[in-house]
Amino acid sequence: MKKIFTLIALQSVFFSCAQTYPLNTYSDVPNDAYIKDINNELVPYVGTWNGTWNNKTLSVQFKRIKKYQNYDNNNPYYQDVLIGKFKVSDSSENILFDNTNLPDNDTKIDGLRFITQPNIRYKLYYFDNDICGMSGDIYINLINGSSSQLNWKFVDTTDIITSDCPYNNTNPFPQPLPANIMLIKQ
Amino acid sequence: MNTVFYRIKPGCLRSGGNIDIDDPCKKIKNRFSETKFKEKVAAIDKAEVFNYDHEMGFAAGYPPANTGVAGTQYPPMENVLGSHSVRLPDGNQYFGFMHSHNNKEGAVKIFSPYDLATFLTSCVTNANSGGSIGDAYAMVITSEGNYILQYTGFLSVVPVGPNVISSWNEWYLKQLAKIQNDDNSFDQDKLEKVFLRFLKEKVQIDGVQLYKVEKLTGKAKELTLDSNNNVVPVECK
Repeated sequence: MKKIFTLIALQSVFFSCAQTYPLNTYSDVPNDAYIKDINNELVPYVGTWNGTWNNKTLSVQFKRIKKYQNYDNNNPYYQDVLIGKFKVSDSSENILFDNTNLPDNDTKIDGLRFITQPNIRYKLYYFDNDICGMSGDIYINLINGSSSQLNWKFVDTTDIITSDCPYNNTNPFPQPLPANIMLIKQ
Repeated sequence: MNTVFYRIKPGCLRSGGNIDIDDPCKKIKNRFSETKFKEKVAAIDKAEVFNYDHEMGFAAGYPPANTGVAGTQYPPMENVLGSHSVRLPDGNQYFGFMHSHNNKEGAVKIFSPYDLATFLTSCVTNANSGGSIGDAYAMVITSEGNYILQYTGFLSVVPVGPNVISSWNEWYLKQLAKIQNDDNSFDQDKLEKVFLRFLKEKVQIDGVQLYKVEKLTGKAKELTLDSNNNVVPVECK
């Protein structure tokens, strides 16, 4: 009888553990599986990074979280991703954009994956409902293996602006993020 | 941006009705028989345009009433200064648009969720009020292929607000990340499949149809998914 209880207990433990997969898993995974940053590849990017462009200062915080990916209701899973929150100020230190108070599961910058060719970069996407659905891809990589300097590239992919956008006739259109910049870790 | 509209489903014969009135294949064929339409497509479908740092496009509008102006009007969709995007002109006469998706790094050379939202909330709505819903279209012109969206729904609510688009965007981009190559490029056949899955699994609005159009001839085929999510092309006759 004791053996039967032991077997049942072991079986329960086995089946209650979600399966874990490495970060470079791009196939579908079972429900509630965990795509984990086993080798801590995201850790060097975690922290607050600052840079300047066009007399503006960008301060972006990258954080690694275990995100519940439920964008597909039929196949939710967990994944370690970087998320980003940022603040932009002008040369007089007036705050132009600030989303640092958003909850971790609802940030405007959300991690996607590593791109490995021609060099290793982490790709995130930006989507901003406050600026009429402005969107784009962000690529970050450490400069020459440095732990304190980061290349930042933002590729604007915003598609179509319609007349219900409050910035429809704003000239120039809001530019919350720089296209290319070097960021310094704080 | 919420819209409710009603229409007769294509193929539903009423007394004196015309079953072909909103046949998407015929709509596409008719467009490619118009010189002005083909000129606008040709103006976008160029290597130099694909290499711009911003999109380029034209809206398609009904002629203004009581002006003597006839035929579809094609004003440019102006680039929003300081942005990659183009602007759909003000007014409720615009039932269609065509635009480029460029050769930028990581470019997705098929429709975006925002393209679809604009098609549904602006083009379909304007076509319904100014002409026929079947007039509505969106076209994306890329170096890897040209695509058209048509609508054949007959009784629909199109609840496309900012939160819906945000949710669409998350689904789409995270599915795209799964098929992306290590060098940040995409295989076009995989993109087509993800976009069709996006329509089927996430958007779930009946009647949104995707067509692929040959660049030189304008010959179209509808792209659909079979029960195993394989892409099945159906040639327009």
